[in-house]
Amino acid sequence: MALHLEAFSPAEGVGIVRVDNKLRLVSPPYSRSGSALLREESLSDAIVKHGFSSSDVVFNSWEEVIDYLNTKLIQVRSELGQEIPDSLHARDVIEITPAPVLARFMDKVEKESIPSGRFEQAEDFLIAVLNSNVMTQAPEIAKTAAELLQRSKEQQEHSEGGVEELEREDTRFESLERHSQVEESTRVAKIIKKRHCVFAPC
Amino acid sequence: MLNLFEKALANSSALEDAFKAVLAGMSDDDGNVIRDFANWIEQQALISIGTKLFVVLELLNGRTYQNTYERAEEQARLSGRDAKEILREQLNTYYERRIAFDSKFEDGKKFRYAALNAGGLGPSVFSPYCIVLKGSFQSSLDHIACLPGDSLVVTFSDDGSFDEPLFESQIAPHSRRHLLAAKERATEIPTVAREEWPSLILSGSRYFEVIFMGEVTLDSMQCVRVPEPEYTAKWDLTFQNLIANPNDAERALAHDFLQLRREQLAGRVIVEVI
Repeated sequence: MALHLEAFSPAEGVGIVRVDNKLRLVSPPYSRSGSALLREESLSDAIVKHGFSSSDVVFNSWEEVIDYLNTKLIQVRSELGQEIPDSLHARDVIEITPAPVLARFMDKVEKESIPSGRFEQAEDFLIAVLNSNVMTQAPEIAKTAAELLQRSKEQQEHSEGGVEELEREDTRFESLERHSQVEESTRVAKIIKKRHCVFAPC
Repeated sequence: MLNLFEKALANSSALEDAFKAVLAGMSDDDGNVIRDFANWIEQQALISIGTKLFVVLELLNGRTYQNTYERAEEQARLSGRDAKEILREQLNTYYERRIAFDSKFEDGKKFRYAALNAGGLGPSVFSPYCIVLKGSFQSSLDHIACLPGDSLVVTFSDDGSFDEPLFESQIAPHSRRHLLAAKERATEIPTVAREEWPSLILSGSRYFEVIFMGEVTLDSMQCVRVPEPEYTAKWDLTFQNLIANPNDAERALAHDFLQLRREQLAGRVIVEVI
């Protein structure tokens, strides 16, 4: 699949990509589902009126497109003398987040982070909420954070308990038992679970 | 070489006549509504620039707003390359038309392009941050004029060349922008509820282009309007930064957005979510 980067805004990591003869807008946060379809005439609009740079680079995958946009952003910001922080500090962010947005964050922790097993990240975030001025500024949200923290811990314990039980009692993988690989398989399963990915980092 | 702003002033009488002719063809009731609309534009309309978050932050950091040429000049200074080459590379196939328009006029490279705004947001997904400039700023401008749409469309012939008579018939001085707007939307005005009037000025792909010369700084800015989907998306991006491992671009944009939020809380900028 050829992905033609027709134009991009390097300082913001935004690109306009032609794929299957359709124009798509690719912007952070990068996700395939989030790449909006664009009208054909919007390409000239982006270049002439909105400072996009024309481009004729072709890529083989979305990952390559994103890597390219990311690299260009780093390059341009470096030229402009703008540093990109290594991380955002949760408590600093939380203390300037409007209450309705924080409530939305809580919803995301409840419906996305905990169910998908991102317990550590969820707990770090919730602890940051409880250590912030939210305790005094928005006690209802702090109460929700405390409840979610409890729920996250319970689900994590339940989840880990399940793995340990499998380790002790599982008889479904007879072949693994025969080849004395149950312990090793359990270890790998735990790593994958923690990493949320079957691929090892390079 | 033409002087765009003198041409606009020279078109004042023709615009007044055209407005009267439009009213003459209307019923009394419709004519009154159109007059109200024109008065409303004269009193309420400001000018706005659709731009990117990155550019809003540049203003907040004390820089001035750059047009295409100034941006290319800066990139040339940073990279050591030729500004014209950068401009040609950036605009590519659109270079000729941009240059064709700007080079027709004295100081064409100093023009800044904006839109008439009587409420609401600019139309572009590429530049969702709508900088609304203060009324006092627009009053202070000596050089400001208005066209009934994109200058690279409404002043060009079908063969793609700049059409001087067409340009001269449409350009309006700032003092007659309300007549231009009312004349252009005359048939729609009586059919649209008053609360929807801002959309007759700026919506979708329709707008009145404002061309001016002058330095835009943080002091020129009345507020920044942000579309609600963009606002929500940026907060979601911020959340992702806290809960997952973002790449540099995602972290940089979240960082930018948080800077805007801090400036808002510090009272240096008014952010309106629409």
